[in-house]
Amino acid sequence: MKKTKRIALDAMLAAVALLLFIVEALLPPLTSIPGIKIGLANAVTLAAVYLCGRRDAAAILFVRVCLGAVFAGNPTTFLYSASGAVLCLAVTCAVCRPLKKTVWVVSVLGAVAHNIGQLLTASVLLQSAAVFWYLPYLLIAAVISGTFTGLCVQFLLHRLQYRKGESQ
Amino acid sequence: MKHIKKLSASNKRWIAVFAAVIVCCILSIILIKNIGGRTAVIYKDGREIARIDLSRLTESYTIPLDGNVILVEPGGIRMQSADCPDQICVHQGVLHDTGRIVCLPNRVLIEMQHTKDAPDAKAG
Amino acid sequence: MRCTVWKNKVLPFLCVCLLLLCCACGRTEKNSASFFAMDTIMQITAYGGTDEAIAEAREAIRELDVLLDATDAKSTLSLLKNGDLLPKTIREPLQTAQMIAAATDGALDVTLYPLSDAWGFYTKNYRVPAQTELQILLKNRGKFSVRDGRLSCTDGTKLDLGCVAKGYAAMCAAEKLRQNGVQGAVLSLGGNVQTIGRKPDGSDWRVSVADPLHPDGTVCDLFVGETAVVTSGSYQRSFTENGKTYHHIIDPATGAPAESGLLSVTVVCADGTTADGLSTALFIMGMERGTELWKSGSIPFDALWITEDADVYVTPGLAERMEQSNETYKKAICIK
Repeated sequence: MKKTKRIALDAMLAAVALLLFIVEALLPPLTSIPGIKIGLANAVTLAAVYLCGRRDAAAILFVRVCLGAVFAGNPTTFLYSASGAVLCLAVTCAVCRPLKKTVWVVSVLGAVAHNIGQLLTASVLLQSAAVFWYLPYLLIAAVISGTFTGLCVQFLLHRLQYRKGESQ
Repeated sequence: MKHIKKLSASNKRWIAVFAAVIVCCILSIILIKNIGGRTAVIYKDGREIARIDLSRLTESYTIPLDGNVILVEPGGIRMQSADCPDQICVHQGVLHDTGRIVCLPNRVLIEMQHTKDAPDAKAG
Repeated sequence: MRCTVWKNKVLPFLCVCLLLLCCACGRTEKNSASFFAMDTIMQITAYGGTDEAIAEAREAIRELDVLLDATDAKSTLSLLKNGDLLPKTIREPLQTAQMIAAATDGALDVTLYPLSDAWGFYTKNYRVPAQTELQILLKNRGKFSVRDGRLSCTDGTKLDLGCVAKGYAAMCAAEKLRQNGVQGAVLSLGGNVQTIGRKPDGSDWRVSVADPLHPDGTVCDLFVGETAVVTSGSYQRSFTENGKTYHHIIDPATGAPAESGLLSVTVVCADGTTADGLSTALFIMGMERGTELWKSGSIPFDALWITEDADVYVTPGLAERMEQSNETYKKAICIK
């Protein structure tokens, strides 16, 4: 892939991720439990890992998190989304190769990591381990939303006739 | 569309793993739900601000805490208002016996204390 | 293929989830209610039994509230005249009060209505009556006795069963709960605690004793089986005039609030009516006479005294059943 095409694709994915992130922030909370959302923006990160490689995915994620905090958030929500995103990306990158046949599993593991990252930040900010009472709720949410976004990405990659080697 | 019609062995394995995770979560949620008390403890930035025995309360009052306003009523406690953007803590409603209300942006935590720590009744 | 996964993996898991949910619901059901009666907040928590059980217990309390209200000139208690046949619900608490009065040299007196009224504890128009006024009221307060279930009293006798009413109401409500199949319950009638059976897990009830200096806090926890736990304290109702605080427990010897050096007395006793009346009597009697009464054994009870010097005294029966939690008060001394 040419450098220009790569930059263009990265920028487009970052824009899509940002858009999804902002739209989701505008929706009312799904449940009364903090931290539970569909995580549409994470679908873009996941797709980017397969389409553009890990390093570019990290860059897209960085841009999305920073700009997302500017457009739809405040310094505290930035901390939550950043910590979740970093952990999510780390897990996604670690398992994306061995599990490339089951992209939805990568997505679920990433979502779980994302929620655990948020809880860790919350426990530090609140200086209390009580937030971990939410862990079971967040894990269930992560499995469901992760499956959903993961299947989306899986179908997307198939539609794009993604095959290993073509994207490099 | 072959890929969605056929579930590979690894797909099945993962479905089983995640189903097990969900079962464990539901189990622990049931367990957590059964732990509770009648004493609400309010924390701000990890520091205990107040400890209120809801069963002994006779009238409602509010506790202002920076941007948050906590409403304490006989038998219940809830976040009346908050200046945070998501308002999740306000939507969490009233706490009676169990659970907790968290306002992440303002670092406020309201938690019901364990039954084991709280007496069944108070004489006097 | 997808169908088999559904059948073999997902469905069984869902079934297990459902089963677990059912198990969680099948535990002993806990019902509770809070309501206002007898000028105070009452709370009933019952394990086993139904909502109707609590409703009936509540109704029993309400009936007694109407019947025994000394401040209502039209209540059954207020309308009693010399020679009237006493209904069971008045006879029983009255006899318990008389029994305590006899055992405590008259420390408990149910004819002090005119004095409490003079101090303004009924109307909340508090005032400090003159010494001579108190003497006259004490002298004219009337005498009564119960013979063959009939009241025999002198003119001007005004009975006030406030010192035993809550304890008696708690007993009646507890009886109603038992009749309705409740195996374990705790009733708190404005700090007047009555328990039934044990907790569903077989453990003792944990009843805390209010801190007389800061009533929101506690002094200690008592671990008790089926019993009544009642505290009388100067902090419960009082007013301040010219820098002096006057509380609601009137000493029949002086007609003024009892000055016995105590902050509160908690009585643990199987009979709720006795526990209620005795806590008042022990508060009036003070430490010394109180311990003598306990030693005499004329009424079996356990008690916890808290003095103005922050000393805590307990009877041996309570010593191993208590857990102190408040640093303000000294370690409990067990009387022998």
